[in-house]
Amino acid sequence: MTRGTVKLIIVCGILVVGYGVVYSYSVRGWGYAGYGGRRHDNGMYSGYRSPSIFYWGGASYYGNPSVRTGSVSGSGRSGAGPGAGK
Amino acid sequence: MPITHEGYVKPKKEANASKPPIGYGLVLMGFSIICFATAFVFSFDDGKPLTIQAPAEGNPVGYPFNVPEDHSVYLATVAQHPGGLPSNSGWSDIEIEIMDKNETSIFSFGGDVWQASGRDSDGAWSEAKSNFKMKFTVPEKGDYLIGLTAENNAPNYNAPIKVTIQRKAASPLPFMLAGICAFIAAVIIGYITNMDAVKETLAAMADG
Repeated sequence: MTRGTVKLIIVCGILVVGYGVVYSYSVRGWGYAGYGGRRHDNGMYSGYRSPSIFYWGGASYYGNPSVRTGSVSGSGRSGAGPGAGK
Repeated sequence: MPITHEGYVKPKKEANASKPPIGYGLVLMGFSIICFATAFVFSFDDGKPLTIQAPAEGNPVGYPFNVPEDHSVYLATVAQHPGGLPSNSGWSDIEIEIMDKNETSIFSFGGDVWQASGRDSDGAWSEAKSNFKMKFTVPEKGDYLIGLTAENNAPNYNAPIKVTIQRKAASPLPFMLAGICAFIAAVIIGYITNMDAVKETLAAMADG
């Protein structure tokens, strides 16, 4: 086996490990709203994340119901969209 | 010592030994294709969708929502026909709330629908937004509730709100990112490895 072949096998091995790491993130739902959250024994929730910057086109995310803006029951309301017209 | 034709053309045995049988650029290109294929497969639907229909002002009652596995990924599509809203000033704001079975809010998301129209130098135009989408992950399996609240500024607007929640196989985002990174790396490595050939080709193209 040549040195070049050994190097290639090492590179392929690194890519296989990399694939496994990416797979583990993928099956855990990485990147979308709510990823990484958990419920504690006392009934509280924490760690729920907003969508990652790599997720484009989603709706507005409100992680904290008491301070959200633009929602129906929030402190402020952004309201209509016609401003986004032509 | 003069370089013979044979010695110049034939690479030395040691040089060949450190050269991989195929280029790293090609390997990375293959890896990126595998990543894109996996992302494509992970974007498939998994099971039947949950469909909720609510009145224009929403519904204070939470809709039961069962999550069969940890880390389930869902795509929510919220649609409402904006036809009854006043053009350029009407809006309907919709919020979807994920709650546990005790109605404790976990997180929520929302958007609005509207329609607009006018006339400019190109003639009459009209635009409308009738739906929005959101992907979300529920980290822990169990029974949840979907809360749906809505508000609009039109007095007689009663178009129903339709929410479709479809489970997905997994999150394709990590594989999309890995595929893009591997593709860029493959192009850069391929360029560096074959720089001379690329320059020759570009020079030949420039000469016509």
